[in-house]
Amino acid sequence: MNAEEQGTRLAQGMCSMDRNGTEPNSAVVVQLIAKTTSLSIGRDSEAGDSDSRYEQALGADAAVSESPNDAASWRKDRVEAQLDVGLRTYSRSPWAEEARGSQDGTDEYDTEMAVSKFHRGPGLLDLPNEVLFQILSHLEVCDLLATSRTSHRLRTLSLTPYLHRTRLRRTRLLLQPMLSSPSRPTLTDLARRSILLTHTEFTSRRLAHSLASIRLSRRLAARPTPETLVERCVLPAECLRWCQGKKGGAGSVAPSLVARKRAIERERMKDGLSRWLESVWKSEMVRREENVRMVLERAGVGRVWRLRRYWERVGRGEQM
Amino acid sequence: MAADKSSQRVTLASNEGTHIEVDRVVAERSMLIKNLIEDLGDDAIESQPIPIPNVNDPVLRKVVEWCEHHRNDAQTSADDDNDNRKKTTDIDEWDQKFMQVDQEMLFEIILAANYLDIKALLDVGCKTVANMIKGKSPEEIRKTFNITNDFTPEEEEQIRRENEWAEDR
Repeated sequence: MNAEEQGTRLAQGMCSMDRNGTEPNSAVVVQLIAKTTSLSIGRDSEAGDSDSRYEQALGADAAVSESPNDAASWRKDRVEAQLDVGLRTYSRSPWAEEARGSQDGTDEYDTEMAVSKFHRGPGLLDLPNEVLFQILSHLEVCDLLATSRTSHRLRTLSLTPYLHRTRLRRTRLLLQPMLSSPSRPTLTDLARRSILLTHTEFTSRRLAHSLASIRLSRRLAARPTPETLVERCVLPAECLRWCQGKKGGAGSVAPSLVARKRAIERERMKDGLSRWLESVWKSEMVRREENVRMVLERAGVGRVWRLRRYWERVGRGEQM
Repeated sequence: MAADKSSQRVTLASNEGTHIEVDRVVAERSMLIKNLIEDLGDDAIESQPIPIPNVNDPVLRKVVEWCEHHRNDAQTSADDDNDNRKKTTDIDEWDQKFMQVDQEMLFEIILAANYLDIKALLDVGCKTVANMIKGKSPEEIRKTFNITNDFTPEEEEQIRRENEWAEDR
């Protein structure tokens, strides 16, 4: 990419501009072109540098796809991408679009078309590569991996070694000021807030911890047994009764459950008593009814029986 | 001359031919216009509007709005701020609100900023787009920006295998 080439391309751009007659003030146009040419040339060395890196990236990518049916499309993409890179230096100039148009073989460049395209609105991939590059330079590795999987063009851009090299360089530059920034708490501050533990502090903490555990186990061992507590009337007897009972200590009752347990036992007793009372009363009643019936039969009490006796007497002719 | 310069007005003409008159300081946020004024001299711009052939009227108005708000910002030097540029993608509040436009407008603003060489605006636009990409899956990115997937299934498989090391997210 040398200055002469740029000159001719710019001239092409200018010609198409004049032909279309979009620009009434040609003096201004010439001035602008002169300005942008100097801009582009000034940026040439940097662009050349990134060009070679770019080709490295492309080479790496081409190596990735080895299947023959992709080769053609890859070559096309490569050519296009290189074309883009070549034109990257111009994209700051207003005629970059037109220069690109004539490069692609559309010599009859139509401003009408440009206008209609403009109205449809550009998408992300309508941005020139250098702008996409700048966007990508704001992303972290995981996001770059994501963009590299969206399309061929974004993949080529996202995997450019230059991008990652600048990312690393920037991180390296940022790291030093971040490490030495005044908002970063000092070591003594961290130690005071117990975030950072020095070796001695760590040992003293462990020591305190083991001391506490020893004291605790001793105190646990010195606790009075349930028997003594029951003896001293601290605990209700229920807590102990089941321990010594036939169930072998499986059913001891916690002190907080004793009241509930007593209530349940009372209820059960009440139920049993009432059931017993009911059964006793029922059998008594049955017995009494039986007795009454027997007595009545023996005594011959009843209306039918009296009526029979009356008519028997009448039949015998006795006097009433 | 300095007092003269601050009160001077310039007229910008969009590609639709509409004219927007702004303070010279505001217009000079664009390096392209600044250089152009320097080259042509003050007399030339007083007599005729500056054509901005790549930018249409609504976009130009939006860009001028941004320049008006940032008229007193310190000018960053052209290209050497690449290294000490802030890594973080945080954008100041006014710019965030300014960038709450539909995607086409956003990209048109970016293109215009790129063309007019307004570095700070281009940076804000790029950061906005970067924030839209952040944390998305490839499929979500494609959907957001309407990108067609031009990978063959074999290529996709290949890429998936290559990226396996990063799939623990």
